[in-house]
Amino acid sequence: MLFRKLIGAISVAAALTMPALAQDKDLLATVKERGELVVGTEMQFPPFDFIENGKQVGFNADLFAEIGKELGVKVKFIDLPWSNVLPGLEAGKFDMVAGPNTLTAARLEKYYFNLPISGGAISIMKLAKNTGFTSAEDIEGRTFGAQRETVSATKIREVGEGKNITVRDYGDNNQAYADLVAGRLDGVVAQSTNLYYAAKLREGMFEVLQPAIGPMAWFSYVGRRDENSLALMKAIDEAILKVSKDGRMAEIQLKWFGVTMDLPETLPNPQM
Amino acid sequence: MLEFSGALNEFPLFLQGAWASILYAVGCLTLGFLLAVMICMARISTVRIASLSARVYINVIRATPLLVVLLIVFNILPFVGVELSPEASALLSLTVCTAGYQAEILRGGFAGVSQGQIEAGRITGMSEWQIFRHIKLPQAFRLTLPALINETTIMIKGTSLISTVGILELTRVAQNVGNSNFRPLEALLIAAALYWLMTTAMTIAGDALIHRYAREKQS
Repeated sequence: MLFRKLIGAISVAAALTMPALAQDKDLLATVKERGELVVGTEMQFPPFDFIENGKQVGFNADLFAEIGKELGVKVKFIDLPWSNVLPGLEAGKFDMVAGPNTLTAARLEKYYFNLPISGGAISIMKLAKNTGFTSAEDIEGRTFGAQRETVSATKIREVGEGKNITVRDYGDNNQAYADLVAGRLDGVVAQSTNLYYAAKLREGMFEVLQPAIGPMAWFSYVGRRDENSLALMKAIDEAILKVSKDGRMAEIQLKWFGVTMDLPETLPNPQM
Repeated sequence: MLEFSGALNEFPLFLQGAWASILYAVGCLTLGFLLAVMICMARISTVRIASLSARVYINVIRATPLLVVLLIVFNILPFVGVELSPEASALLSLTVCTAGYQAEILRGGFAGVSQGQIEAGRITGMSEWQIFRHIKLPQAFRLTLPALINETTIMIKGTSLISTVGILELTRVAQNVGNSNFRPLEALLIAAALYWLMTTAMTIAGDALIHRYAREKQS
């Protein structure tokens, strides 16, 4: 019958669209076989990932190009809103996540953290022309913006407890910067690496306040903590170590952060 | 003051995003129509279980926001063993959503096909499939065309949600560009203009089709 025929056709179509289940296979072998490492990230996170002249540029694009060379595979980035990047990793939509992520004890329980590729401390950035706001300790009654589901958003709430501050969550840092410029915020809270880069891009517009509101923390790329991912994660660690040792890392850091930074050769204990 | 030069420098990126939106809209509307015809057949069939399942499907889809469907397909299906790429997740979500609505639209169309024509078909020895293919479906399609065109414009705009599963479409391009040059308003206005162009082109094409059918009927 017609109905049955159509149902049959649909099941065949459904079966065809379902890719081979890669779950039972070692991820490193799968990546090498397909010749492509698939990385989830969010592309409004300068200097790590952003769009310029229609192309993805930044620290991640440069470093992953080197990691790809070490592994002998191409790298494909998938751009999602940050709040759906880690869920996407858990759902197996990509092999790993760029970001990077701040190393915290809570996250370390859930994800495999690769060797750190950078570090920084959560800080506050304000408009340079806002001369009434001169210290990161003077936050009473002010309004801050931070990226949703980041340690920065958590930290400013913690620091501001009892100080009558307002915190607005944004999908990404660039939206928060735009609202700071528009005068809707007194400050944007984010990792110093991102803030100094934003301030450098717009000379004279922004100012990063002292002191930092959080401890120095490391940033890493992350993967899944399952057995299938382990070999790939070790291979990424080795690639990062090699790129650090032969000076390519310092070059990329200098290009995007304006400074170089000595990186630990083993995963440090989380500071947060 | 509006300052479009920054956003216009990235115009090829906007076109790329608009192209992705068009592809996903066309894809989901076509697949959705085929699925909707089947759901509609089940809905009006006299087999109780078929009509009940179709009713449940339509109700569930109409009660679930597209964004929630996207997140379920992308984040939850893998845990029950269904692994789909971001592209397939987006297309599947859009398709199951529009199919529910199109099925309800078509139901009205099928109800409007006169019983006399169907009986005439039977008497002349047409099979049920031929009656469906040559009498019911074309007329149901023509009768519901205005509502179907409305649904296509809704789905063109619905594609703006698929960036949540990693597809670079027009809205995401506008956000990326606007936030990179601190000019979100201009970028979003360009995106709005492109959506307007797409939906207008769609409704003009749809109206032309409606007029053609009307003329055919007169002659």
